[in-house]
Amino acid sequence: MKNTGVIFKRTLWDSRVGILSWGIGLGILALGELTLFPSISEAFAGMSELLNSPFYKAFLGENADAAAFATPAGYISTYMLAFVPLYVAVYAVMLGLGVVANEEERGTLDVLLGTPIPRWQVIVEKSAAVLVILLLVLLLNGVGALLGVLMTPELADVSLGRVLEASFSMLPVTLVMAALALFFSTVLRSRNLAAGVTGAIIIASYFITNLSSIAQEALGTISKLSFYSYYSPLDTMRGGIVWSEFAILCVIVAALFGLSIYAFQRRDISV
Amino acid sequence: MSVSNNAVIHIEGLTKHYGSVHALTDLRLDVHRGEVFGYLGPNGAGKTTTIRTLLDLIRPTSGSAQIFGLDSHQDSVRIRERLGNLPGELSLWNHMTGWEVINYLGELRGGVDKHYVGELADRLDMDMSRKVKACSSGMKRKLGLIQALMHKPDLLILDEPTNGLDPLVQQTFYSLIREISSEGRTVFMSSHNLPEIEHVCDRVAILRGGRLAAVERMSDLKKVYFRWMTLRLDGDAAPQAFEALDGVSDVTAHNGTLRFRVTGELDPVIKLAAQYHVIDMTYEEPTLETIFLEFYGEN
Repeated sequence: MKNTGVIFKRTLWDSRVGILSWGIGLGILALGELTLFPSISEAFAGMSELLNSPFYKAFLGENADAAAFATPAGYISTYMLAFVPLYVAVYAVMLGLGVVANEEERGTLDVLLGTPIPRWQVIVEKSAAVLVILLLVLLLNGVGALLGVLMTPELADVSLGRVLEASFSMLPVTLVMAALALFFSTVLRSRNLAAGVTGAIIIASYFITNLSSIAQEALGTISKLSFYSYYSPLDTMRGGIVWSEFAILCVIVAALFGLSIYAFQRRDISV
Repeated sequence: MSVSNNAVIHIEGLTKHYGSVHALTDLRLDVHRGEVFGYLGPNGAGKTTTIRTLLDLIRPTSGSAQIFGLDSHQDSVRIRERLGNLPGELSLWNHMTGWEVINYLGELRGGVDKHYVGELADRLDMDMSRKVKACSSGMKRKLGLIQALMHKPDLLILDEPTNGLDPLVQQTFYSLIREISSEGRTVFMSSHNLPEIEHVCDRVAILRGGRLAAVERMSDLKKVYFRWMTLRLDGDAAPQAFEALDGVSDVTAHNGTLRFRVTGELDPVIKLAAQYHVIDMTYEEPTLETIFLEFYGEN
């Protein structure tokens, strides 16, 4: 098709400020946090009882472990891998809503779909751009983390490849967030409602997964439905990407993406 | 379903209901090649619903539409290659300049003749270097017209095209529509403004409450198209002289002011009025509803 890639390129170009600000911001955050490893890990060293409390378990899950926290892998998995997807969640949801909902609510979708492009192409090209945008943001975060490791003698044993791998491991979980926003915006046809439902699912998933580590019986089954359960930062830092979990998250993304196209192809475009 | 060879748009039983709201009911309509077709109706009559269904932005509850002999839903992409569209409530990308909007939409059409776009911008007096967010509603409308016209489509679907355009640009728009029609291309334009439709359209459909009330040739409608005229004269005028003119009726006179109804051309009235010292002259356009009632009252 003669118009292939036009929307993809436009979406990337329009997102250049967001990519740079989120990416550089998260890169600086990673750099700062990793260079503070010696002092912070020391401060938390004697706090094992505190970290085992339900409050910290809810926020940190398996990372609420003083012994692990004192190690470079545990520290990086907490400060970088556990928290960064939560920060990126805001941007990922915005990007997911940007695929259809923003244009539909502004009314520009009527003009866009006045040109000879099928509806599915709008979703495919914009979603491909979202994938690249999140990859770039996480890459910039990874560059900040690499610099942090290089500048901190206490992290000298950390493999630089593992740090980049860890950055990449955050991609599917953030893509799930964007895909949820896309799916709900195509089904609910309201940007605000889609943002609210997606936010609620992300928060619920995060806490259910973390709390399941202390309430295995009560939350064991339901935690399997939580997408966060398929994201294990500590395991990634210790042994590399857990590919089975990575694949499950990719399947969730693909399913949400497919359902979004299905719903969008069949429904009316709002005025 | 038999489609007239000449029908660019063929609508068959098109119905769109939103729950209990019947936006459009059993619409049947043909628009022919080279025609400038006016689609008239008050706000909420179903004009935009029809247009959005033709563009496959909304799906009918029942019925179907064909454009260029192709199904408006199944073959929507192929149809849109040959179609230019101006939405009623136009929104464009605020962060782009006029040229950026045109380049973006042009690329989605596989390229655009920038020389022709420049010509259109000149004729419509549009500053293409200005960002959309800095444009007035009239300027945005002009940009919307340029994007609808830029690829010289075989069919133009325009929803309330002159909304927000100043009178001079409206005249340019009417010229453009006449040129397009003379090239054998088809224009389908909605409006709630009868004088505008009268300017450019060959045929007109009138929509009321989601139902097609009438499809008439503009020339037939013009036969009953009247205005109320008021003349304030210096001195008394003989109402009988005006009453005797063709197309003039319901004459009343009071203190040098004459008020009457004129149907058809104004020329005889103007010539007669010129024999007096005219202090003031005003005329009121009838509402679409009045014309409609007049037409069907007499037929």
